[in-house]
Amino acid sequence: MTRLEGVLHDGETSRAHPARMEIHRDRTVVLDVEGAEGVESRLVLEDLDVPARLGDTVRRIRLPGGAVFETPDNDGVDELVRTHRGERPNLIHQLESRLVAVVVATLVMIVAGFAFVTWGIPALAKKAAFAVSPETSAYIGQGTLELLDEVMEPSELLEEDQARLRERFDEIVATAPEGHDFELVFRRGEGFGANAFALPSGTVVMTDELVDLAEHEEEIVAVLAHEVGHVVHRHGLRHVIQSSALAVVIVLVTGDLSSTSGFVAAIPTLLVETSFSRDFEREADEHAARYLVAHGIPTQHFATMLDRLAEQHGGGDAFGGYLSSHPTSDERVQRAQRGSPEEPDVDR
Amino acid sequence: MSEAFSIGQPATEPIEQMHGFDFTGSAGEFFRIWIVNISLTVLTLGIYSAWAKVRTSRYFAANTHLAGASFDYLADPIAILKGRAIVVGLLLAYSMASALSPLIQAPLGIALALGLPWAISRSLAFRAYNTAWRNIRFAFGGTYGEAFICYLVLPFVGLIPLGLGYPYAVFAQRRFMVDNAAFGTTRLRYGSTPGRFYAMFATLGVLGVAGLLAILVLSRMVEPLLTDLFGESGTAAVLALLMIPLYFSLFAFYSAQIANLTYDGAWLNEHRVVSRVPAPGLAWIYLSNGIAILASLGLLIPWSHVRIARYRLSHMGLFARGSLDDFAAAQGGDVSSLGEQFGEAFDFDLGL
Repeated sequence: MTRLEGVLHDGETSRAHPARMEIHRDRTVVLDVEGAEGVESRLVLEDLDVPARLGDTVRRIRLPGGAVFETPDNDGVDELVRTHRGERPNLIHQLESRLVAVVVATLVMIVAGFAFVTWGIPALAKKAAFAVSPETSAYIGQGTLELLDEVMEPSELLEEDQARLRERFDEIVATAPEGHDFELVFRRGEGFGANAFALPSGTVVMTDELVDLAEHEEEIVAVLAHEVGHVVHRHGLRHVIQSSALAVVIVLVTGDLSSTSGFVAAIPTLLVETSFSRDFEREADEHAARYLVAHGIPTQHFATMLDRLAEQHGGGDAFGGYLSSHPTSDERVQRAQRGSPEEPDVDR
Repeated sequence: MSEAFSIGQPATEPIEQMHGFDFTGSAGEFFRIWIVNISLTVLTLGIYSAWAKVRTSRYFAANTHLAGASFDYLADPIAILKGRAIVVGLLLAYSMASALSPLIQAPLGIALALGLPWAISRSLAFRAYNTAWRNIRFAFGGTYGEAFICYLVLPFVGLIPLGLGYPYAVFAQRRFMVDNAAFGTTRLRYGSTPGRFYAMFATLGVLGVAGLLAILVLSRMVEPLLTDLFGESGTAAVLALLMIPLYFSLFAFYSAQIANLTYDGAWLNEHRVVSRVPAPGLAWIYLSNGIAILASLGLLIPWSHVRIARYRLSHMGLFARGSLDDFAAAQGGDVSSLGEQFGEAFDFDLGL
């Protein structure tokens, strides 16, 4: 016989009745309740709805008719489940109470979480992005040029300079796969300074400041090849997919969407997002290096231009690039000088 | 027994007693639950998250004690799973759409906004209906119309006169949450006033401006030193870091005050809810939690949840006049029809 001490809540009022439950070998259950009427005192084992154990919280056994017998005697209830009902103890609780299981789960989660976020999400996003047509990919960021025009001024470059650079641009574009609608436009960058952007549609925006900064035309060609790399590798669409997937992962781990966790999650999100962005930059760098090598242009031009840009945008980075959307320029210069593209992940 | 006590007391004069909330969960125990939850969620590609949510909520409810009994959380994981599938779908659709085109984003945004009052009243009802104390369920009867006014109309109307109507909108939202709630058949009655909300927002504004000024003065003083050490971009980052304690303080002040203004003074028959969560203590807990979570790569998330619950609940209670034994459950028929109604309930934490 197993005896459990506890209280009974009849489900009609909030009064607690001290109660005792006895479970006999013949599977009958006798309930001895102080001051409750209308609660069946003779039951059989099958009438009881016994919940799985949860830490050391009280066990609430549901009875027919809506009453609840509540007992802190978790071991007694476990014994009832095991010996009288012949059931195995709850699997989840078993996992939770085994220290080894918990430690293994912790380690596996850290490694798996890290691997999924750093390699899994980018790989899946790449597959997804290349599964759609280039036209769909180009749909991302429509209206961005109009937005840029709000803050940039029309170009003041000579028409002949623009035409010559467009010719070089067309040479690069000729090597790119079909489906993108490439176009090179020039703007005065104002606040953006020396810069170039690639829109997923295939439009590349280059600032006058960047053209002025370059001393060789080949330096500009290198930047153009880098921007075309962004378009060809569909970085716009991949970035959207990766960010969305990351948001879902973070909601699943922290368990809610509320603002505390939102704020705490902001820093890891920022770190991962910038790491995604650096990977894209490396991929575009490789695209540029490959183009330069294939067309007999020394990769030194790319390295020189990166140096100039780094100088222009203000010196060293105290955080070793972890908070930066671009790889450190030293790294990029070294890669460009080597001129031999590698897989982006090998170097991380 | 109870008769023996009442001899000394006149029958008209009920016994007054303060019952404090008490949280007995432990970080170690919850850590095990949490890590197993996450592992299984990942292994099942997110499907287990609904069961994980129920297990977590049950753990917190069962460790929250009031007047000798703990709470219970009774939600069906399948109902939560359906709700989550919808929420994740919407989240994905929205973040894709916002990148794709403003043309899709605008109608989707309006549809989401119109759905918001429905989602809020549904999730409040779902949570209330699935929470019980001494085997009596809570309930929530707020309608879409009321929620529409409190969450969409009043906040926008309130912004027009220099935002002066906004505290009133927040007041109306909190009143909506409390006045429509019931424990069994007993309705809660809201106990705060618009004036206290105006006072809170005024204090929040003063604290925010004072904090920003302090950071500005401080950064002027240390800027040359930092520029030497970290370079220009580094200095900007360090100064941005100074905003974090300010943010946590303001967030903690708001979240302590809003909890107090929601529950403090609410009536349940002749009993009165007491909520006096101090903002400075909560600010310290939020800030130290944030640092601990980052430093432990997230492993201290369960510890931080337990810590917040313990702190908040230790400053809340129920001032009872007379017995807490006489609340009646809602009629059987009502409960089952309610239960059906919430079969497909939306469930997500809105940080309410």
